[in-house]
Amino acid sequence: MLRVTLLGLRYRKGRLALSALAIVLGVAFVAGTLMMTASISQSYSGSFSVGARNVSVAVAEQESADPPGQIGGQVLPAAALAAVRAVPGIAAAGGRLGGPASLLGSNGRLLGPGFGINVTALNPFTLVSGHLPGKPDEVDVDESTAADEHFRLGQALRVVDSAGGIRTFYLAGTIDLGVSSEFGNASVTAFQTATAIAVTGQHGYNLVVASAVPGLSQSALAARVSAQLSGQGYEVITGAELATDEASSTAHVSKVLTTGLLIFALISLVVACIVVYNTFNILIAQRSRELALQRCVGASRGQVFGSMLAESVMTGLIASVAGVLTGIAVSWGLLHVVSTHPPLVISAAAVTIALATGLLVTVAASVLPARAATRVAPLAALAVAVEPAVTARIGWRRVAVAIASCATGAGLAYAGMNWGSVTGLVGLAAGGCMCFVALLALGPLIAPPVIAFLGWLPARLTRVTAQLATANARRNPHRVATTTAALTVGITLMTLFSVVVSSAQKSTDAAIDGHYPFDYMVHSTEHDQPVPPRIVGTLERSPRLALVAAVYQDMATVGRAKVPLGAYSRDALGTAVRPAMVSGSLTAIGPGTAVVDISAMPALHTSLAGTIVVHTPDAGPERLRVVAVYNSGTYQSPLPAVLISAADYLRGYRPSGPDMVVVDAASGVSTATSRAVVTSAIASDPLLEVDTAADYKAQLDHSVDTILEMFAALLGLAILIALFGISSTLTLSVIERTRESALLRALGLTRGQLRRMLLCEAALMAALAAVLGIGLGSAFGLAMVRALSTRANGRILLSVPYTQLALYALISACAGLLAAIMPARRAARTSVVTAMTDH
Amino acid sequence: MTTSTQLPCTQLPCTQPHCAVATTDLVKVYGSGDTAVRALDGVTATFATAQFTAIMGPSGSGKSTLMHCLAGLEEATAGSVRIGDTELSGLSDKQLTLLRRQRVGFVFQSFNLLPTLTAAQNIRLPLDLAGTRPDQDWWDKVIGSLSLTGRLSHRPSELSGGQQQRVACARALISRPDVVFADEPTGNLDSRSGGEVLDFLRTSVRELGQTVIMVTHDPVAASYAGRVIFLADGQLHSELTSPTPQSVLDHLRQA
Repeated sequence: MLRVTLLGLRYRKGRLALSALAIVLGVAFVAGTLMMTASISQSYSGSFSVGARNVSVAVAEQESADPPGQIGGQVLPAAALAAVRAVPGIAAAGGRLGGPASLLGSNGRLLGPGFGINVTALNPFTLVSGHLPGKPDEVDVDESTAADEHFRLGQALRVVDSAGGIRTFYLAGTIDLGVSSEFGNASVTAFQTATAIAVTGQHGYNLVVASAVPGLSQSALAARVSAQLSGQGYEVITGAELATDEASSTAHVSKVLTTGLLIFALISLVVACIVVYNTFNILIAQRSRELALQRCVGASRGQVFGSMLAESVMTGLIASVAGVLTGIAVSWGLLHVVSTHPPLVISAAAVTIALATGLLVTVAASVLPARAATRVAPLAALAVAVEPAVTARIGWRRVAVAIASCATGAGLAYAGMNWGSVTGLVGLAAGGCMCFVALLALGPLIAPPVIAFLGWLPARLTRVTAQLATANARRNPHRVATTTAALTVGITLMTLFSVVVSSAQKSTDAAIDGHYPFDYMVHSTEHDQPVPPRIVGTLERSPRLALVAAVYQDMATVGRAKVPLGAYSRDALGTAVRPAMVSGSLTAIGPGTAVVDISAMPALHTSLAGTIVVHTPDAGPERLRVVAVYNSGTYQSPLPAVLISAADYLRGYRPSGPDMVVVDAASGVSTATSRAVVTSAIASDPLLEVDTAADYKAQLDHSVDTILEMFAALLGLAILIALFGISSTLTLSVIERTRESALLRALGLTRGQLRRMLLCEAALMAALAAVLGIGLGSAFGLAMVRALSTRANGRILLSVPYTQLALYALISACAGLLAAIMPARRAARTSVVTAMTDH
Repeated sequence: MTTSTQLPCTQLPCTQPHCAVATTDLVKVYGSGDTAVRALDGVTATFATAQFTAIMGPSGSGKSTLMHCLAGLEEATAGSVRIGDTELSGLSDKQLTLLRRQRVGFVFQSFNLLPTLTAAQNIRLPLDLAGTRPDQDWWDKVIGSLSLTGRLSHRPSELSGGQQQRVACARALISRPDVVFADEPTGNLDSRSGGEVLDFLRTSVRELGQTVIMVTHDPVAASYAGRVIFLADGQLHSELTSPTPQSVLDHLRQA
């Protein structure tokens, strides 16, 4: 029996190829995700061994909430380094510091974000070429930036320092920092310590590191250092702890990433599973005579079932192996593109998981069809092969269960929608999934009328070919429902994301228009860099500007929660900033009082007229009375969770300048004039940037668009797999209908008309998927927006991106046409006489 | 059409035996080299308008190949085939398709109908393909004489074999083709249904002035024709006019 199975498999390899390809892609996605993330994590931990290499003990500020030694965190005074040096058993010690330092590229423009660090006895990098900076005017640059910009050793480079001044240095060498979570893709410049302090404006060290003399253990040295520094509020850790501390902070990031990617891989696999199920189903329907013949010559039910399963195991195995190889190849390629070229990690676990998933999915998809195969009556082999009338009949039990679960799901989703908590969102998602699966189960009932409706217009236009195509697309409702289900999954998710993203953007835009009606916003292109006071002064002196308001913001510990805290100049409150007030007035704010966002109130454990305790670095804990509550509404609000008076903020943080400046033009001043005034005021500082309200909205929109694009790319694979499904179904249908096509050709259907007929059929199937997917996706999207809005206290506006959705429908139909090209060519090639006489 | 009772044929010059289909030195070779098979080896024959001709011959004699070549389904290796005034050799696939659509009707042994279409849609298919509308009088006449009036909205799976074959006959005639080719039209039918189909084909020739060429191996079916030609080894062997089942059987025995 196995021999018969193997021979059959070889005979049918062409027909299985497309569905096998679906498995290959799904498995490649899983394998690729696992291996990519493993590779990236490993190179991260590898790079921390660079940072912690030769480090026996590290000392950081204890109060710091950031990971030890984080740039921008709390700093240690020079005395700490001296104290560590005095500990017996220290071989070498150094104080590491770092801060913003932007490099100007060969074209004189800023090279994106940049960090400046100092060179010490124990460096978190390795020298690649040249030498370490030996003079105050020498600099080392990270290897990939130097390579991208074609810097040569000895070349003069310009660096923007923290005060906005431009300094010139000479390139002494290039360094390799490994894969760093801290610097990311930013450029890194290394200076002598004194120069680094001058450039970055840091007044202390982020981290003091030391190495032990040979024979002294890390923990022993750490104990001595702790004893020496005890009572001064320092945190002492060993080099090993430093490595794991930093590695674990990135491990978390990569774990979130892996989970996200695996969800999309799972979606692809579900779609692939639908495709394989459909293919096996059709193949078995086509082979019912062959299987009945096997039964007639003595094969038992068990043997037929076993043979079908063996076939699916072989297919699954071959496809999974191909998938794993594809995954390895793609990951290798992608890692090669990454600038740091981390080596690919092929772990046995990743390979096993991917193989097992692929095999399991394929076998699971074929069990039902295989069971159906054993039900073929032996005498069917002798019956004349007249196509049985296929109807949309599905069992009443299935209909009842589907309708019941659809109703339950809808109820659950509705309840979840109004809950307004995370549990509510989970309920909504679960209810949505239930509805979706139930509707897919009802597909055979839904598909024919929808196709008849969709085929109406094309039938008016091209008459007979479209009419035939519509009739063909409707002839087997089960098959068409399963085929389109795969595509429906992808389009539903795409639509869902689009509706949510579009609503989020609309709400943000509306909130900014309504509640933050500023004309311009001046801020630094560098994160956390203030706007210099002299620039604020220049702006304030211009008679063409009506409002120049400073905006301060930082993270603060309020009670036990860490939340964004900020302050606005008094004249901006109620004018350029006028959020929806839940109670009280924004102008009530003054020293000793605070205004909070309603959505942050639970975390702050406070209420109106209650008090909050704010911890600031320079003023210690302060009790503030809550005098008003506002609703910032959108998820990306310019307002922080807690707003305090500017006076309290300046006392608590002592900032060197505001984080942003909000500007309104005086009435009667044209946009061109006011824009020119602001632009010329900031011209002396290359780090400053001016945004209009429209620019600001565009930036916020862009960040969301990027997420949507990423989703689209990830779902693209699932959609591609679904298209393989359509192509595969159509190919098998063409084989099934060879004689029918020949009859049509004999009766006068031209080759072109036959091709058009099949293309039209595929387009109708894709359009069916698009209509269902867009319908369901919009419904789920609306529910989701409603749920999010409940969470955000009713401030998220609904927006359906009609153009985008129409585009999805169009793309889907075109993709359907694409999927039909090969089957249509095949059908048109077949000779009429051969097909008619081939019984 | 001036009046509904007049048949179109009476307006045509049908008095002399006009040639509906003719072949000259028709050769069809399958394969090449040592494995080449000469299915047709120089067949010259004419088929007159408004005549019912049967083609007979043992298996492998080339009768199906002859029909496929005459109908423009298959290209001849050498020689000429004419339908009316049109020479088929040298026509493109598209031209042949349009010719079949407009001037040729088909009735096959089995699988004649599209399962997705109703009887009426199946009958109208050649006209729909050409983008024309049926002539209502002709439609009523064909449907009426095949007793299909009550079956038009049924799908093939809801019709008996005889009914399906009558629908196929109606489809073959609905475009009033120059010639109808029937390939073993009674092969899958019981004798009563077969008789009805053959009766109709004969009536369509005698009363409606159609031309029918039928391939069969059944002497009874052949006896419905006005003329029988016999093929053997790809060549025209002999012919018989006004056949009876007995005369056809006798002829086959002699051959």
